[in-house]
Amino acid sequence: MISLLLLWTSAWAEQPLSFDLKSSELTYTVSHLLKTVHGKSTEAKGKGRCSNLQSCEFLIAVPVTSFVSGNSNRDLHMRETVKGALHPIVSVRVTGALQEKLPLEVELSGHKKMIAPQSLKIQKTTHEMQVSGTFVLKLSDFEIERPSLLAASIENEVPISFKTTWTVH
Amino acid sequence: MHKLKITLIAFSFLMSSIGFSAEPKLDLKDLGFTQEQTKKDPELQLALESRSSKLKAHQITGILTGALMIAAVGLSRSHDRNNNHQFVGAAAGLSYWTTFYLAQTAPVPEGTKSQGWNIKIHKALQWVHGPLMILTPIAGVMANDANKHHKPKGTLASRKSAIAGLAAVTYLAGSLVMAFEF
Repeated sequence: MISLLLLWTSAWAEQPLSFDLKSSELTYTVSHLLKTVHGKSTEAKGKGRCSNLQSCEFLIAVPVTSFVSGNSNRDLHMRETVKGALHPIVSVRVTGALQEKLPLEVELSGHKKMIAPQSLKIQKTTHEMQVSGTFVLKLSDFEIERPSLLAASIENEVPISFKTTWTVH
Repeated sequence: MHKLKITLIAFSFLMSSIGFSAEPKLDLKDLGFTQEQTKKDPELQLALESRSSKLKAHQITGILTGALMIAAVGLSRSHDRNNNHQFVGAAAGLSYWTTFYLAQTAPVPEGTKSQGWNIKIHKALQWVHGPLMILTPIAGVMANDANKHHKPKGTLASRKSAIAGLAAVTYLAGSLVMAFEF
């Protein structure tokens, strides 16, 4: 009985880890008949914690206004389209085991959706962790009306690529 | 006592297996976002929607203006046989100033910095075709009056074609830069 107790406490005593987002680059790609546009943000904030490697929680959030595409009219239109004044923050939450098949809970424009990443790469060193990958948002999943120009709307699928560096405590 | 120990151990296993934690989920405050950064601003959303509507209408009337200008230039050769050039020209003028009004009254949220080479060119060219679109109908009326009364044309009237042509070219150039980088 005592040996069982010792076995359990040694597993539970695995050192908890916490993570702080050190740097990030998030890019969305919007495709239209006449043009492809990329908007980038480097102003995400994030934290993560793992009580053990099977039980982690990460939250990364970025202001809608921080995405720039090089055209202020387009950025303002994007902000209006995703209702950025009512929902100024886009967030991604991840819970579960720290592995490369984590589903992402994306919150955008007041709606939440679980999305499986297309690719996800995790590289760990002693004090840092790099997480990069891509996933695809469908604007219709978030009830976002697709802008149009000359009777042609933008594509419903919006690929998002991200590169993040976390410090590990 | 023995039963109590078994119960405690079983309970602890159960709690660890379901990942029991008293900690609440991470939220935006934990990341350092302030209430100011996360607050909803319905007035701003309305202003953004108004801006989008006006700029969309500005695009449509802008395209219409361009088409009317091209038509007016095309009809200029028959100005002495009928009034089509004048009517289409007047329509182009009306459409032009409607387009201008829509752009000028589209709300600009506080703190917006104009960004994009095409927007800068588009705005700079309005200082060329704007004054020319004021001079064009004036020159047109003067030229028409001179023709009607068989009087010699003044300086402005005699340059009406050049003024109107330059207005059309700079206007269309300003429209095209927006089409390439929208």
